[in-house]
Amino acid sequence: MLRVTIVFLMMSLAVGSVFASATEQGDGARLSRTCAGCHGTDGASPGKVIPIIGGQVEKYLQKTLGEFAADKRPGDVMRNLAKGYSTVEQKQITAYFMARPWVNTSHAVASTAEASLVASCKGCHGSQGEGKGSFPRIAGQHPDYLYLALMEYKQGERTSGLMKLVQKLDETTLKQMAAYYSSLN
Amino acid sequence: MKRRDFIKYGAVGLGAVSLCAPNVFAAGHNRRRVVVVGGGYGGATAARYIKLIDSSVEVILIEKNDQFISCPISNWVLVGMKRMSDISFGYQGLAARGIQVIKDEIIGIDAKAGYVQGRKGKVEYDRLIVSPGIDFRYDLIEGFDDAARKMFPHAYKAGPQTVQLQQELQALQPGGTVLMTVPDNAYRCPPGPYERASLIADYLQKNKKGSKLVILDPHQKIASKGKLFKAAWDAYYTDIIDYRTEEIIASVDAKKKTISTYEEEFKADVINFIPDQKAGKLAFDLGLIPEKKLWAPVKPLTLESTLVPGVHVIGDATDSLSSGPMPKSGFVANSMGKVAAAAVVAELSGKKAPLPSFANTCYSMVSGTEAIFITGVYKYDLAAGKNIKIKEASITSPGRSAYYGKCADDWATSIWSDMLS
Repeated sequence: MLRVTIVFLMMSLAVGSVFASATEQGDGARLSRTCAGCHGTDGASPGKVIPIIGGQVEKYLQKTLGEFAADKRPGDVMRNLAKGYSTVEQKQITAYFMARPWVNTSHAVASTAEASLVASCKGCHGSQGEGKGSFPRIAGQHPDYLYLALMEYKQGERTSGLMKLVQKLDETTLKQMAAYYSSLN
Repeated sequence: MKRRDFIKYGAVGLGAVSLCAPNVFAAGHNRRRVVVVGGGYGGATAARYIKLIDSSVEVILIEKNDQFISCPISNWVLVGMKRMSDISFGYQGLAARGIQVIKDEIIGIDAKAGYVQGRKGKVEYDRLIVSPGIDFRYDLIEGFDDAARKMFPHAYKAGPQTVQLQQELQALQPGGTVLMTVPDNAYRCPPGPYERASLIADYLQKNKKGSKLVILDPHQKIASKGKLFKAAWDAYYTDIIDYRTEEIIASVDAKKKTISTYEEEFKADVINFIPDQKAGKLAFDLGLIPEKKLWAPVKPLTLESTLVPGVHVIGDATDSLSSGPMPKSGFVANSMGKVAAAAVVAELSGKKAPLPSFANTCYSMVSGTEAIFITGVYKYDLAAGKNIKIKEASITSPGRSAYYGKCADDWATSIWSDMLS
């Protein structure tokens, strides 16, 4: 069963990439425009808890949409909406948002935290929180969103490898970490 | 391409001519011009996205009001969670993008000649996008004269009536009665009346001890997000809400301050009457509504009117039998604005319009802090030749939460910036 799933996944990925390169970049824009209602034009979310996704790391966006569609992330509107798009369409959408400019949060919280507080974040999220691989950019993200995400990891509602480390940290520390990264450019 | 000369404005509009004329003349003689009428969720989005997609297209937005006032979030204003200034915005953001914003009320069209007629003058277009919104069917109810309209505010187009109802609620004595009616289908924002009921009940509970809220609904049950609203009402408001179904209002009496079904007369200290609805007057004035119908039929791919070529209709005024199974919501109007913008830009360049893509995300507060939501994704089905709902993506939230309430606030911030910034 597992092998069948993997083969299927590989096939859909292959089809996806062929399709994406064969169609105009316009398909990503066409599908992604509806996202702006909540995430802001081109994903530059002006809100507080709805994250900035324009300029986010592409693999992370793909992983996230896939997890929402598979009910593997805590429920909000994305758990419904992600199911409205095929794997190919999800890739077109994430490729579109990855290519937009990142616009820093306007709600950054000044942080007095020592850099040592976030020393263990850097391995995955990059030295300045810029994100890499499938690990998201967190620098310049909304502090309220970052705190909510950290709390979901702390409570085990969301899981992702080393993020379980935050389960040992208290809420004040998590708030400081969120503030720290929100104010990084 | 046919050349437009200028915006023809009479004596009243001279100011506009001297302001606008340099722009229009300087534009040269081969720019493509799209005129958008109506600066709400649909129209403002369409105007903005035409510029975002192709900044070389000349865009003129004609709106009769000075300001945009949002219907979504206006229920929050009724109970003091937001102020009018929080939901009112100017059009300067669009003007800064090079969109000409003209204040006028459009009352006619010559689609062959390609211009719309306003009270102040006429404006030529290559393509027209209209977002007429809704109007109320007062004619269905006996006695709904001017005095009754004042006595029983709808507060369902955000504006002066929102303020009136907010003040009436504030002035209510403890132990008083509020009565509200729910419109029959099809109407703007299906969960809107129930969100309002929830927020008013929450307000009465906190501020007006012993008060009641009577809801008269023509439906057999709550028409939108039913289970979620009912669960919240059962949990919080059993002492306050008196919810009655299949109540059809036949008449109102402003002198006696009563409203009546065929069987019963109701009195209350505050009466919020949300009448049945039809497309906004603009849609009728421009010939976009078939004889004896209430909504504008459109082509599903481009939202172009099936009655008047070159005119695209978006938002609540569209007939969902033709546009697709989308609710009449602000988010859908925003979505339609983008679809029409992309279609118009493509077709003006001699290209085929891209396939449409629509979505809906709609939060409703069930208390001062908690919200519920419904989502929808809609796509064009090539085989069926129409826009269809993607079922798996078009469902409600599993429950209510304060986190969704925060998302609702963000939703508004985001969509307003996506329309107007």
